Amino acid sequence: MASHSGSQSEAAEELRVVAILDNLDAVRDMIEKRLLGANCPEAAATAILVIAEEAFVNIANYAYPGSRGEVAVRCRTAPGEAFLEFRDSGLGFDPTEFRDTRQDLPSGERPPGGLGIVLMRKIADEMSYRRVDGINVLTLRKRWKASPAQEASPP
Amino acid sequence: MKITTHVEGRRAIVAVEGRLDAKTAPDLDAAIAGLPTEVADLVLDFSELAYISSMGLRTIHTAKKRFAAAGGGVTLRKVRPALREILDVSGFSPLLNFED
Repeated sequence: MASHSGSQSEAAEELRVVAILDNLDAVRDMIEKRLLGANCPEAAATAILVIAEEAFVNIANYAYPGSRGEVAVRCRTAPGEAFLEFRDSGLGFDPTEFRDTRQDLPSGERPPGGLGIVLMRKIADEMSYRRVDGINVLTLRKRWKASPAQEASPP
Repeated sequence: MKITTHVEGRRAIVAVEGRLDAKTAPDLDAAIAGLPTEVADLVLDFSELAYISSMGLRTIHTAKKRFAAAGGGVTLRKVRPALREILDVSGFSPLLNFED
């Protein structure tokens, strides 16, 4: 991974797109670019892109049933951490309140629905949701340890 | 995403290149569903896989159920460390076989 002189300072990128699956790549590219600029190690970048996808796909699939709406995605980085923020004006849904009632089942028998939310919770260091004036605001935070030695690509 | 399939009797090796995400996972679902019914063991070669999200994990979960029912299993080959972490966090790893 190339070194960027601005990696120690805060920086942010934002994108506003129609909340449809076709725009997943644009959202991911924006976040990936910001993480690269922040010298985020590969494993943390992958984890951040996974939670970003889960959040975006949830909005694309459920926020605007039968209609189209937009989502604003912001990625801000500071030394050793990234913040993702998703804002949409669709149906309210609080993923921090979602309960996976199947945790009681043996893992092999658990159906995979809701896995995206489980992953978001397990990967993110912090996750918060609020609804303000009809806008859903989901914020996720992920920290990483700066360790250039770990950034080398696997063989 | 690029999918390459080799079938050797009861064993299929499916190499997946690129990103396994909400947009591309249905293609891998279709490729696995299209394997001959006599296949009981599936090897997913992830050496060139750069990314996996929950939709990719669902695909593996579905395959695992199919091949377990056929008396076989699913093996993940050459999973990159960054992706292994996602599998570990999801709780799927203990259910799967890994090889280098």
